[in-house]
Amino acid sequence: MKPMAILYDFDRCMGCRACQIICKMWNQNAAGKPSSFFQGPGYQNPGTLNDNTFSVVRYEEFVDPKTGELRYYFGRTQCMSCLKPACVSACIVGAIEKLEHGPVVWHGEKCMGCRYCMVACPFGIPKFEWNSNNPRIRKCTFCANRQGSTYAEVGAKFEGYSDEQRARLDEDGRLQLAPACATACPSDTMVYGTREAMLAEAYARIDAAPDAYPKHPRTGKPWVYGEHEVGGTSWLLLSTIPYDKLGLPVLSFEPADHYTKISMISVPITFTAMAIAMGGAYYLTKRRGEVKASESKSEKSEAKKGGES
Amino acid sequence: MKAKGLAKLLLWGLAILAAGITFYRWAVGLGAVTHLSDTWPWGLWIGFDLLCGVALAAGGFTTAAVVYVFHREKYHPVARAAILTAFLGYVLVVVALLVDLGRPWAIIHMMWMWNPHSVLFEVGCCVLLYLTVLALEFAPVVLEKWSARFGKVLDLFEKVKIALVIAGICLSTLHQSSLGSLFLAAEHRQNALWFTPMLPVLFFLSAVMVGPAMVIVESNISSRALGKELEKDVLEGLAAALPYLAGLYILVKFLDLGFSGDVTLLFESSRYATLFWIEILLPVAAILILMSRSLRKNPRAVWGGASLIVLGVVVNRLNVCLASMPDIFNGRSYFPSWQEFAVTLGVLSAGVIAYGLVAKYFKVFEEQKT
Repeated sequence: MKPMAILYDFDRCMGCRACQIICKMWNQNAAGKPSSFFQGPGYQNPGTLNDNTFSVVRYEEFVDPKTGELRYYFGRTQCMSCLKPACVSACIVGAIEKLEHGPVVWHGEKCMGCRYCMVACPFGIPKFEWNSNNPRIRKCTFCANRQGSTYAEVGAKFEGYSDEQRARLDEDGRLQLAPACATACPSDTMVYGTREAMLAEAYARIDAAPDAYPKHPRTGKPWVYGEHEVGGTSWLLLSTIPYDKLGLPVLSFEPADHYTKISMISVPITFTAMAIAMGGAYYLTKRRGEVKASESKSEKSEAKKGGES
Repeated sequence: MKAKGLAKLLLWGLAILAAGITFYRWAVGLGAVTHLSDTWPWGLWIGFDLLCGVALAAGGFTTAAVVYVFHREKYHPVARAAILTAFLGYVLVVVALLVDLGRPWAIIHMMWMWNPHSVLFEVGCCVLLYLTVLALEFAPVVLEKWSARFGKVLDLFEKVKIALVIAGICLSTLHQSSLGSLFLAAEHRQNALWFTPMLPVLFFLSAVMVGPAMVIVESNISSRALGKELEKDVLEGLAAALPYLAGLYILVKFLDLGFSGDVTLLFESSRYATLFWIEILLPVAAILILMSRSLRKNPRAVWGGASLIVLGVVVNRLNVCLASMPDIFNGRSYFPSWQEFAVTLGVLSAGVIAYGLVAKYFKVFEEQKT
């Protein structure tokens, strides 16, 4: 399968939250009980992602930088399914895997619960089952079990789906269903397709109204969020409101592991250099001690100072 | 004597309380006993027990380097104690990890499920290997008690000693620095005062600095608790090196801030600037004390200066792991729960108890030669 992507257009979202509901349904996540209406930034329920909620439609107010007016937006939070995921490179046991066509999936039998993936994720996506004695890392998987999986892998979850949906297999006999959220959207906020096609679509929309869309603060070019962020993501976000007003961090274009990669490469170099330096120091100081000892044999009065230098 | 008994009771009490909390935490999960959350996946147990535990065990490899590689026989009397502290320190780090990991039984997965891209994997490997090396370095102290029976084994240990010591230094260099590299992955969260590609270098330099300081602190504590004489000129010699080591660390830290341009953040009034100044001024104060030759003759001043360095490194590690991370994702703040403090204190107490027991039954302290 080619790398797939979802194009998400903030300006089309009307906040119906159908995607949030179907996300819960497909992933068989129970409903949560909000403790309060105010659960952090924004007004939504649940306030943030958690171990039982893989996607949230946020509702937030902001001051429009152009007009100075108070405005609001609806925006979706879920795993961005990075092309070069920080969590995958961070995981100590390789329990998180990036699939060729997009999804980033977690293999529970490997995980030791160190939570380094949560520290490393630039979007703060992986969540942890804090109240379990056998906790899992939980997050959106870009519906890995709807795309590129076989019937056997999907298992019981597939029951209840129509023959038409069952028939959508690619040439390898793998499922090719859009992620659940994209199928539920009534306003075409989310469009699913190959990443190439989705990027083309995003730029077509920008070209239709070039002045309406924000430019990237560093490059000054039209900005499709996720095209280059941390090496690119499988979610491409488009908005006429600058992205930093939408609760999205302005990120480097380098993959999240660009520094840790250098540090891992320098491991064998450091080890060898240190071993040589220490070995050298050992022989040099030993030799110096021997020379001094032989010198001090002739001058007995010096004998005591020899050991100290 | 009465105070000693009381201290012993307190140590055992704390250790047992920590064990109790640990079993409860294994039964019900981390949420019930800690204030960790999805915004704060790492807390006191990683920030203090792991990061500070490893840093404060640096006395092992620095002392081993000075004594066995650089042949400074003068420091021989503190070598065994330093290696014991390092060994116990690493054991406690592993114990703390078993408390903190979500699925502690899976810690062994690290041995065959390798992810060579993961800094944490490297840290894990180094800790495991270095723990083995430390056990082998310390083994002769245990075996010599029955030297009649283990004579040949002891000879063998003596022969491979230098290889073990150098392996230990290389492994320490790697994972002291890679504990800093861990936070290179937090580039997008960490405050600019702490985030720098130089983090691994800074972690290594501060470990080298805190190594001798920790030997001084620990010698003072054990001399008081176990009633042995303080190795005054050994400690004075170590103290003389501290201003240089601390100076180098602070110099690199400021050069790095200068080059990145983040140095201006230091003069803004923010929580971050305050914390940064605290972490820097502690070793600066130590330098001022220990620069003076006459003050270094005073064991109290030496102990004070070394303590300031140790404190500076502790504050640094807590800053890097916790205080430098803004609550960007949902605005929740973190302060450890009493159970987290209790476990940390309990693990520490267990270490002190173990140190006392080992020192009681084996010859950890050698008589000064001169």
